[in-house]
Amino acid sequence: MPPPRGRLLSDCSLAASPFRLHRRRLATLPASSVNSARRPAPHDAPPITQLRLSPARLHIYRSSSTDPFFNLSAEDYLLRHSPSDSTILFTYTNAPSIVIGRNQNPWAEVNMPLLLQQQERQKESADDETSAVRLVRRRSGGGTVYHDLGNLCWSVIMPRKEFDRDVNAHMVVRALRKLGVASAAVNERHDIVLRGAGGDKKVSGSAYKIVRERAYHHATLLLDSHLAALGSLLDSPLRPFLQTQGVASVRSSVANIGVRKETLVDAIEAEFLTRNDAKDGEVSRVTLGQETAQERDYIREGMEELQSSKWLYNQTPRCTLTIPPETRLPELPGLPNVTPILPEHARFSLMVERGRVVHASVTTSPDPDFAFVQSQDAHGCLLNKPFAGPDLADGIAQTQSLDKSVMGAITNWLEHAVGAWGGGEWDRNTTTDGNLTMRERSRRRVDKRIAQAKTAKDEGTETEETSPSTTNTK
Amino acid sequence: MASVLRIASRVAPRRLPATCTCSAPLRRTVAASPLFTPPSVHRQFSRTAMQLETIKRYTDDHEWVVLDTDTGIATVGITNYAQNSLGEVVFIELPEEGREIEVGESLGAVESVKSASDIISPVSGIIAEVNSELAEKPSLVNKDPEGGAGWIAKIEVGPEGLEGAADSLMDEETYIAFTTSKD
Repeated sequence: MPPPRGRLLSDCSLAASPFRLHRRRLATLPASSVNSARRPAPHDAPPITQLRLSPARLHIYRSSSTDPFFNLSAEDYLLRHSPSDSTILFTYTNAPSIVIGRNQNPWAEVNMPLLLQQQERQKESADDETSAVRLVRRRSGGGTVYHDLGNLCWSVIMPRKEFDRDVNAHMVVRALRKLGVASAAVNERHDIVLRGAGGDKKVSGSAYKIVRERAYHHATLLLDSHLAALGSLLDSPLRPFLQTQGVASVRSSVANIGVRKETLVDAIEAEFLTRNDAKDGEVSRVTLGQETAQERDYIREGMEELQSSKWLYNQTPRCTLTIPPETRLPELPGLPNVTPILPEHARFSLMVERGRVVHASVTTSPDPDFAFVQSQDAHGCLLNKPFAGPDLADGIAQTQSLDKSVMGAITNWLEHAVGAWGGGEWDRNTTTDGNLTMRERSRRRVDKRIAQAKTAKDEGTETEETSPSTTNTK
Repeated sequence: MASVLRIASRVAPRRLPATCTCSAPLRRTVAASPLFTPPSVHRQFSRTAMQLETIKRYTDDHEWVVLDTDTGIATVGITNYAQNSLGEVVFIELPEEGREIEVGESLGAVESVKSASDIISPVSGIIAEVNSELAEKPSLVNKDPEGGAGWIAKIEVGPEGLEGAADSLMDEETYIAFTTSKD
């Protein structure tokens, strides 16, 4: 089934239009599957390589991995590379992680010092590094959620024209009711709640992503999650001092459903098939493992991007950190007995954009003239520094004019509250192992083809143009 | 002069009225040249006819793009249909000015009611300007999606890219048919 844009493009002139080359490149890229063309296909090639050409209308995918970066990237792959009229149900479970929305501020949503302290402890005990809680920024919108092995993630990928924020939540509610959870319902924020006398308890949070003619609705479902961890990790000490653009989380009281995961996945899958009116031969079932990432460049590169500091921190919308004077700052995890107060006449304010300081105003002097000098000094030392604890402390230490006795404790507190950045390097042209990314490879292919088309065109027009000019000179 | 004509023909290839004439000083220079012999067919261009044409086009990702043939700049925004179906916009992720972008790549995203919707670049070029007012007031996209306030980014494309986009994207009539056929 050709997408509509193919029809629209059919009448444009190819020679003059690099646009068409790009479009065609983008349309054929996933199907051409660079890898399988180069190396011989193994006999047990995972069916995901055939996704684009799959005749099935309904797909049921499960993931056997608990890596949040893998699961989110596989979901993104399914969104972008599935046949445009197919509907997919994908269920997965993630190892403990805090998942913030695409346009959120990690420092306003997450208790960074607590998170870093827990990660440090896990590293020291060293039995399994992956059991440490990880910070993840997903590609869809919405607020922050906590995932662990007691939480089931379900996701429905569908054509954009069928996109609706409630339909799939109702589908899961029907599955829950069949398992005896009679109080399940969908609330006005499109989340699943348990209705009770003491008010609604949220058991599932939804978010959505729309790309071209495809969309997904994905959501959490708390079954047997460690809810105590959720509360403390999402309690940021910096939140009162941050003024952020972007999206803030809506706090809700939550509960576990207490249903067995395997039973629930079966029930949701059955409900998915009923709702979509499945007939024989229309359904494909696949279980994805972590090794799929090695087969698909798109998934591997997606995982690299999600784990990069650029995506985790620099993606943050603009924010301003202001520490008010004469306010006792709260004690931080891992930094006992440090609760400094900024003096009455001092000022501390940083504006941060794309993860870097773009404006700083820090003063300690009551004298306005000297305060101006201090402010210029601090601005010069902090400008363009990453909004990371060590970098900010370093910048403040470089200043000449600030009163160190006042700033010492504040700087120490701030360094811990903001914390060091995790995450790797990421570049859209080369992967971490030094190869070109899919984007760069296809860009070069297109460049080459455009250059070829241009040479052919120039040769053609040159003969046209030379004939009148020869008459001119005669 | 040949180069002037070549540029003129590239910018406005088919839109010149047949009756236009050369401007007076240009004709004098041409006539004064001893080597000049009038070609058998006169192809003459006026400067007024080629200037300032803006073409509005639509993509099947529900974006509009205004192509300015004079400056080579494409202005991109989302359509009224798109803002209507997305609901209240709470944040717009804007691209970085000066960034190079390829057609089909995401140049940002619109967030509304927990959904992030990619803005797909309809042209290749360099981000010349972004509508920074949207950072403070994302709701402008709901209020005035296709007017002066709701544009998202201006992309420097150059004449060839403009022509390609003008040829391959939908005009208003086709887009309206496209949106109504979807329902």
